[in-house]
Amino acid sequence: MTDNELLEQLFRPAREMQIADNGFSEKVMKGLPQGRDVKRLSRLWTIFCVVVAIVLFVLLGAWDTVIMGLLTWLSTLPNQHHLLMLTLTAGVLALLAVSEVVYRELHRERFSVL
Amino acid sequence: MSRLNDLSLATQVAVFHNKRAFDQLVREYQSPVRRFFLNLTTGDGQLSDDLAQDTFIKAYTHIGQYRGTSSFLTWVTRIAYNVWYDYCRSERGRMKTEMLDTAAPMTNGVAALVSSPTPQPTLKMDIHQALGQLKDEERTCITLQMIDGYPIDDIAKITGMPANTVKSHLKRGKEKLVDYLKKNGYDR
Repeated sequence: MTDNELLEQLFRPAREMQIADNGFSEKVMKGLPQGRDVKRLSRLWTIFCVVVAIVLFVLLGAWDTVIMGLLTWLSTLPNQHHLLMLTLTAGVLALLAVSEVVYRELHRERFSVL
Repeated sequence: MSRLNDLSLATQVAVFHNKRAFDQLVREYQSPVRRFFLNLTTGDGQLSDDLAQDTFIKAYTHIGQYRGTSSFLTWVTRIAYNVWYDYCRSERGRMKTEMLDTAAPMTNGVAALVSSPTPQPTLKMDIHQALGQLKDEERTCITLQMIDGYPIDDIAKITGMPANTVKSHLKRGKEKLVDYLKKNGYDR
């Protein structure tokens, strides 16, 4: 018997062997991480809330109120008191933006998954 | 299952998170993946199933990386090899610590840890005992070629080894196996 025939004789049964499932697939499916579903639901919930907000905004005619508010704000802008408030608001917003960027950088891995 | 069908199922998993599609892939390929581990662990069924489960979970979480350039089975086998590699590395570390603690003699590879200590006269045990004579890398290459039927190029892709290294492992592994079989009277 040649060496190749000897090896063939050894490996043939292993090559033909089929392993029955016997609940293995079910076990794998139960062990799958749930994270994807949760993230998907979270995204769907966010989209739903945004859509509801836009619909309510349009239906309740919020445009007029916003435009009136903006015009009033612009007309009183030269007032020193408002300028101080504007600067403070801009400063707070900038601070929040910087802290958000720093937080995202520190947790980059988490945000890249999302 | 055709490669197109595999790709279609993998896309459904990646895009729509379709678990039924993934279930189909697991059912289709559980046998070769579990058999691959069964041979690498030289017959440890429980360990093989645990490693195979890890492999499919990794395949699920990284399904977006499957591009369909190779068959799904080849892609999953590459993941399986990485799972096996990580397992061997962690076991070697654990074995070293235990050996230092007990001052017992060091054995070669994980096979010594997982194989049956008493030889049994069945053909099934013979192949696992024969594979147990090989180093981890030799056993991986031999299993992939002689049992799973992969060509050398695919074995190189799966294991990340250069093709010439794969050839060397195959040559040495086959020599050891033939020697083992002849010594045990299987050439008569």
